[in-house]
Amino acid sequence: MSQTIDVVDNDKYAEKLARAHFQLEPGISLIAQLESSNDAESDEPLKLLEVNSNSLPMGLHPVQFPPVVDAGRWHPSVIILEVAPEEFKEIQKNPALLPNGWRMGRQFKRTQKRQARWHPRKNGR
Amino acid sequence: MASAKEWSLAYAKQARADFNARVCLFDMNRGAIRTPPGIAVPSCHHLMLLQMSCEKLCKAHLCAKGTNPDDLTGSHAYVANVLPTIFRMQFARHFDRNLRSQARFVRRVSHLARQIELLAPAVRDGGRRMDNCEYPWEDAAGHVVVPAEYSFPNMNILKVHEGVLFLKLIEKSIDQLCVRSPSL
Repeated sequence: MSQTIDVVDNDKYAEKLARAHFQLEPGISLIAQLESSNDAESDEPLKLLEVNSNSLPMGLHPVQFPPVVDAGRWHPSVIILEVAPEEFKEIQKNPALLPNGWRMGRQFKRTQKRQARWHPRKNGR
Repeated sequence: MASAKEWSLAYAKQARADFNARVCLFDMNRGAIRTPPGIAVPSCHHLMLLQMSCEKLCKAHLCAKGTNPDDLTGSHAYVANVLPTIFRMQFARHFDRNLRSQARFVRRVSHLARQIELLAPAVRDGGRRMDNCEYPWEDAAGHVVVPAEYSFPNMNILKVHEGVLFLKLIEKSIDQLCVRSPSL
């Protein structure tokens, strides 16, 4: 019996994850999609930077999640770079601090403290 | 030289072995595995294996994106930051609705992750937390406490429904790394 696998692109998946992570973690104030020169490659993971006030500043350690097929749905590989607000300020001052040559891309911001709304917008536009 | 993928898989396999060893200890305590009369495994050993398993799960996720494994061996303090991220991803990937109702659980996981991190004797929260799974310590009243005789009340959450879900998600997270797509 063949199984249909629901494939989503990284941009849509980024929106889904951002919306979910805002709901799950009230300490997250901003989520940014990270861009790299490999983004055109099909197996390049989706990369998200998450600014979390509940995170301890312990350096920039990307956490990678493998692709998973679960209940007929394909979940692409994801990298989460969680940073404390003070670490994010340093990154804003010096974007070269981002590992692997990554760059800040579009951002999702929490707009209301207790309501998990989100508004995607292009960084700096 | 071994690749990041190889290191990640190795950490995940060892996390699985630690987790399985903990399951075996539970089976011994409930009589499913025959042991000499009067022998029971104390909580500290169950918790030590849980702490070791969680630490290696977190390091497996860190190694996957190229964090140098040598840099990871010097510290046990990765669980509190990384484990909540792992759980958040599990919920975000597998639940489309009712996420807000899971948020309370995820918050408790963050607290539990810190408590698990503190079970390692090297993590002492600046001298405020001496309780650990391996070595005796002196409490505030000047009494020496033996880990094998300590009840670890901070970890009681593992005995209720949320704790069972926590353990299932740890196991699932390990398995996703052990049986993964070659394209990671």
